[in-house]
Amino acid sequence: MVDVQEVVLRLHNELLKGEGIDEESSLDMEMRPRNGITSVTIVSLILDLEEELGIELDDYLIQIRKSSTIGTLIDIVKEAYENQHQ
Amino acid sequence: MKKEYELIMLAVLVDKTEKEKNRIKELLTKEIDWVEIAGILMNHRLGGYFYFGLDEEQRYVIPKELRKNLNMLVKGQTYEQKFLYKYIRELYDTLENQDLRYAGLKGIIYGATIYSIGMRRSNDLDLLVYEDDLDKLDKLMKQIGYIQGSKKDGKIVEATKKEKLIQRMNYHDLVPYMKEAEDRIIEIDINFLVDGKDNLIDDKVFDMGTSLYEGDYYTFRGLNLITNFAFLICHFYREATGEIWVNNKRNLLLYKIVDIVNYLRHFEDQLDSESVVKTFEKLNILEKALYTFLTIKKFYENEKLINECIKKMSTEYIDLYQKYFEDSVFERYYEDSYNMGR
Repeated sequence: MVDVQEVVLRLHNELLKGEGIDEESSLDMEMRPRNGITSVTIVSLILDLEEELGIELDDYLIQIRKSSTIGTLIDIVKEAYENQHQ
Repeated sequence: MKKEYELIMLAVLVDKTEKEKNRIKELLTKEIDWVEIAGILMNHRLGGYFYFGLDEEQRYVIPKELRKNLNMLVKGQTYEQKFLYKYIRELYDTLENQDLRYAGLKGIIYGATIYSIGMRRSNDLDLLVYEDDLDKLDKLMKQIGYIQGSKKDGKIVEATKKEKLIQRMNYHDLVPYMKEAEDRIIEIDINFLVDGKDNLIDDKVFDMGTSLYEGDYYTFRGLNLITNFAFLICHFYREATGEIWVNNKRNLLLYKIVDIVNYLRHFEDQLDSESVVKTFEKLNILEKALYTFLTIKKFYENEKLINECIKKMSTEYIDLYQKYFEDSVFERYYEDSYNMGR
């Protein structure tokens, strides 16, 4: 069983590092540019999550767009993963 | 107002008052700078409107070569629109009765209600689709041969998943759907947000219902009259103030103002300022509406509904009104418009 939370936090940490932000990803971190989530990086994060977890997030884009924290994003990705790996 | 500007702005109206008709007659007896008229008509996509807006006799006042060019433009636009209408009908047959929340926008609705064929140039077709229904839409569009992409050397290049995602996550519309049809490409823009991501009103707008608009050439589903007007307001505001549009001077195209005025005049019996302002308040677009109304007022100062709405807002929403009361942006918009901000 894949640990979705670990994957999201790891990919977000890579993203933070790539953006030169000296912060550690956490559940309550807001999905904002100051935390590395910009209009462009969110797309890369989605594509990386899809590839690593072998899932499609197309049906979850509205929820992802509305999600406010990394914790919410993890919940959405977990739901997608469970639905697609039953 | 310069007489050339006045002649254009009056002639392009579909439903004219007697006073306006008489003023056109009067203007046509004066010395007109037709070179300026030609430039404005071409730059602002108003050639067809102007040609249709004059009667046969009045058209003979236009210098011969310009008249022939306008006639040819109308013939070309008619030919193109007849072609496009086939695909509007195909789209309607595909989307209707599919449990999909959608509505035709702009040219589709104008073509079914206000404008004669050949009058208005349409480069593409615009739809509003409820965001939850985009997957359903995608399947239906693929069934009739559309793919999402861009044009390159007359061919369609399919967009990558990343390009589609960037557009979807960051804008109000999708990468356009396209298909090759005979010797050209049909392009359909799908909007999934009426306003911006900071004002999600799509539920409310679709809950207010849609209507069928029956034209001479096709029937299509659209939003109801007020919510369609609300879309036009949001769209106008976005293009008038958006950086990409402003930098390309595309914000200043006069046909956008003319379209809204023609729409309001055509449906004036079915729209009242009370319901309009109340609905716009509910949709949280009062400021955008006021901006649009004040811009339009610079060009058409006697529009009944616009003036009533401005009056209502100036008393009921004083703070908002004060914000724009002495704003010179509308004056600048007016001054820059005719020469495209040169």
